[in-house]
Amino acid sequence: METAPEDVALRLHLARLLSGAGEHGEAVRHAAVILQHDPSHQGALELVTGQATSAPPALATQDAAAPVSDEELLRRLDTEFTGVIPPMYVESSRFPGFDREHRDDEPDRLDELDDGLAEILDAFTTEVPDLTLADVAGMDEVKARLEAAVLAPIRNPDLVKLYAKSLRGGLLLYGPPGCGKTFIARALAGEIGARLLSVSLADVLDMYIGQSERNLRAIFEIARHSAPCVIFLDEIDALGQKRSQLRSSASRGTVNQLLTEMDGLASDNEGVYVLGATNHPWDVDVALRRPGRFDRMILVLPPDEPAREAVLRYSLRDRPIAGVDTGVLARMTAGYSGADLAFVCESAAERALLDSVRTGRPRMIQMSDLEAAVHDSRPSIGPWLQTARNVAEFGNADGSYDDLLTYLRSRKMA
Amino acid sequence: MNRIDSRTSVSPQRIEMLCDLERWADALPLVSRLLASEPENEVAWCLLAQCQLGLGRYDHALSAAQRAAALAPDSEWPYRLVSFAATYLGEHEAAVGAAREAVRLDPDAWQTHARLAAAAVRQQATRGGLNRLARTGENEAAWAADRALALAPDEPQVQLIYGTVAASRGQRKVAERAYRAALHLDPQSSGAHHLLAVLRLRRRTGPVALAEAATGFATALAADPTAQISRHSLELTLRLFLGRAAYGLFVTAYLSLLFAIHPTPWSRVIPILLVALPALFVIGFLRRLNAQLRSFLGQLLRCGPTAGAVGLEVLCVALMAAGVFAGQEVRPRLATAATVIALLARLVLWLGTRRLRRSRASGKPTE
Repeated sequence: METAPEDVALRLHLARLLSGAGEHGEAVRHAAVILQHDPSHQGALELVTGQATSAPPALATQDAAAPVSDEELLRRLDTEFTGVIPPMYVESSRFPGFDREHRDDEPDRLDELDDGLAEILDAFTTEVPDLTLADVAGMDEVKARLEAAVLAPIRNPDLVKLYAKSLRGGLLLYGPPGCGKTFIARALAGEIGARLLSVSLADVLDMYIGQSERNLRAIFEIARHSAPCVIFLDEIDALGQKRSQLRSSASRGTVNQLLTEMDGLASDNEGVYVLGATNHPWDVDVALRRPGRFDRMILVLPPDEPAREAVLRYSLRDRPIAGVDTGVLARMTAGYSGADLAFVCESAAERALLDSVRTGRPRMIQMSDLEAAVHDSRPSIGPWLQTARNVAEFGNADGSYDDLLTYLRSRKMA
Repeated sequence: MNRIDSRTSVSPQRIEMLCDLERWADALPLVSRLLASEPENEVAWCLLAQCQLGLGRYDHALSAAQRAAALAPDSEWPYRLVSFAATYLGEHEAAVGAAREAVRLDPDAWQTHARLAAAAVRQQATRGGLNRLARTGENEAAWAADRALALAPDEPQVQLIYGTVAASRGQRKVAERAYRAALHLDPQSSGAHHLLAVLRLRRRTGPVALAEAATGFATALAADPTAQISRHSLELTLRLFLGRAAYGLFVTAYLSLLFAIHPTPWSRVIPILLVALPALFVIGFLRRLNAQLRSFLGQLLRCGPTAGAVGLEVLCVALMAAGVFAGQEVRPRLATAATVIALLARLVLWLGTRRLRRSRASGKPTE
């Protein structure tokens, strides 16, 4: 095995020999290596499941007593081989540091906040969204990027420790308006089972000098006391606008404070994840995009076909419809944002309503109404794409906008 | 959504902060609420005008600014806003008049002088450079720009206006110095990069100047991606380059034709030497472009009529090359075909450039 570590047949043979010799743990370890390369490898799977019934004494005695369900068997397998075979599915409660149960114990720590912060805390509500990424239809590429950038490190704390990586940092979601950045941020927070502290410009901006900075500091302080926590800064281009574009020193102070808080110079940001969303990443201060702050950017594009179909179904869910083929509509609406699709449904409903008023007989929303609404509307992301094209072509020296450039090229816009 | 309700109360300062962040759409409903409770508040009317200007609704902005001016006739801000809106609406006379009033009300504010200079220079541009009124406007613009510069030499905006006024008077060196000063004060100034590129394009016409201008427009775009006027100018510059290269090729083809009709011992070599001139022009331009600009040029060359024109130019060069090796009896016919094709390519490019000039993008407010 030392000379040919990638020889699957040899490794399987060795595993079988070990299994026969009663070295179950070692056999499973080899089977797990095979499964890492080929998760559907039948021999390795058989070996693992075969081991499961015979190997652990505790499990074996229980199994002998009564037959168990598949779910129970999988649960026991997960328990038995924790650390050997990666579990097929994990629940939020398995994420160390982002544990829902752990969260319930946390409010006590919020009592430690000083009076000033506690006052601000009263105005905020932290919530754990009941959405997960599974609720986000389509957008597989975005989900894969989120998995790599955020979820994988959180799911693998041992590896994170091994590579001395910290569970903190920031991620910037950017893309045209109305394409689901906020929804994805909520789903991500739900996925990791962390509290979500959703912050907008209105929450921070204050007319009194220095108060905006204090608000921002309070928000981060609350997040630290609520850790694990995701701070979601919506429209980050407003809170963290390029300082060269700002005329008042008050606004510049807010950006400086945001930089300080993200660096966590005065406090530890472990367990605090900052998500930003913006339609204009080019207006975000360059300092905010340096390593340790929003060092990763994910492009959230207009919904793909499955996502469009899901949005259409959602927008039509409480309306009287007949003979609507959302698949056809999804194909007709390439390049439409989620907001555009909702508007199409609204327009179709309006048509049916007006027609009903005119004829005096209520009727269902039909496919023809939706098709006409699609024909009468245009994707709203055109102006955004015009600006984005300039950024991708002339402001992409560091490759930050490579994804955007690829997308624009796919649309023959660059 | 979390909200700190106590902080959502409407105050002019809060709206000003949103305006500073250029969140016009967010500020607008707050201004409306403020005006609903305080309809005689002139600051609120000014803020409304500012929001409308930011959103590009110049006629609404003009109405709001006029209302503010009526409520506070001693304040310069409403008049400055009237002047802004009038300029964007093309009412240059009114714009200059309102700016003069602003200067009268606050002669120590650089903003009023800068506005007067900007309004006057625009007015002068619409009148044409030769008549008496235009010269009056020119003097007024120069005087106001001088005054603004004296009051606020560290304001990039003032340097830009000073440079623009100087450029309109033909003082290109002064203009360049002012634009460079603006760039020194604000290295991310898209306007300064753009105006410097325009100046470079006007001063020289060689491949170096063209390449530098193209780079300047691209830098302006990188600094402010919303500045579609810079993209438009960049595209025009690249088309200018293509047009000049095509013109050079046409002249070369025509001279080759003359040499083919009136043969000399050097008739075979001269066309090759002549082709070297436009080739050097093209190489001189291309080697000064960065990778992004080359990619953009490539994209331009691939689209529609331009691609056709480039194809014709390649065919022209191929015919001229064939003429070098062809016999004397065929050479005039090949040279004629090459000349006609080069002319056609030039024509196609000229039409494309003309179409682009007509669809000129509108610029963004610079003040």
